[in-house]
Amino acid sequence: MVKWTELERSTVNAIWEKIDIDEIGSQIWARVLIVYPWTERYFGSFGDLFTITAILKNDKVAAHGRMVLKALDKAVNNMDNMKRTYAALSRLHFQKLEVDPDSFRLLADCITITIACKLKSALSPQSQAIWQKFLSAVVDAMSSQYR
Amino acid sequence: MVAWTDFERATIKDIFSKIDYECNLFKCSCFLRCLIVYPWTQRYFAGFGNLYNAAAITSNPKVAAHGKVVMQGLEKAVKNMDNIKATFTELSTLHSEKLQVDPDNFMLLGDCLAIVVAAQLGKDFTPEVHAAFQKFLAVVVSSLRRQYY
Repeated sequence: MVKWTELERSTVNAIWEKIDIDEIGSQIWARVLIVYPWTERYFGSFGDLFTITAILKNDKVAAHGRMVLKALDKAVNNMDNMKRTYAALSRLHFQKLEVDPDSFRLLADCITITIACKLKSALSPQSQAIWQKFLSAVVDAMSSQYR
Repeated sequence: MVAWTDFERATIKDIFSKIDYECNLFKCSCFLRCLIVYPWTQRYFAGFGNLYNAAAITSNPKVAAHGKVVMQGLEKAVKNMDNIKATFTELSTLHSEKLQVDPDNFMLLGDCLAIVVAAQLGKDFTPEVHAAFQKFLAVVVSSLRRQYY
């Protein structure tokens, strides 16, 4: 089980409180698809992803981003039990969606970048270190059912 | 040879023209951030004195000086985008043979630079700009790795 100090818990919560899931969620998913275009392979049913403009306007992309952030909210609220919180989601991504678990790391990077754009210098090096520890625990939990 | 679109060239040059160098030397240097976020990287800097905590790292003049060296190296890459490999041959050999730096660390520094640039540009660090910057970082990292065997 991951150990969290009081500072780490409060930092993760302080960062999360500043995030508007609706505003940031749509941006994050578009960013993943644009910066790492091979991830588009998982979204054949999302319609037009052929250009950057299309991705930025795509409602399904925006909705999926919001869904991902709502799931991340569960991790923020269950920092001591992420593996159990994400067991079913991990199994889904492994068995049904067949998602390369390396993609979770790419998503984590895009989440951090989007937060850096929003928080700017408020994302100090120490805060970044704590946030990245939190996201590595999330990525670990999402990879836990892969075998 | 890497092919750059006009958008990518213009974007990279624009990013580097907007980087706040004052901030980058003393408060938001990607190098300083790397030492704090990825503390194992401190092993390469035993001669830098006090790196025991974030406050010490942030006020360490050798860290600031090295941050400047790193930025100057990256500016060379921006000025020679069509020949980053050749530009970094000596630097790659230095890091491999003399400094014995694990090449995985280059991407960690790249990640920290992306965060610093995102924080400085804010909403101007759009997904397209981010994608162009990520491509530039990948070329820089690959060039620095090139002389490793």
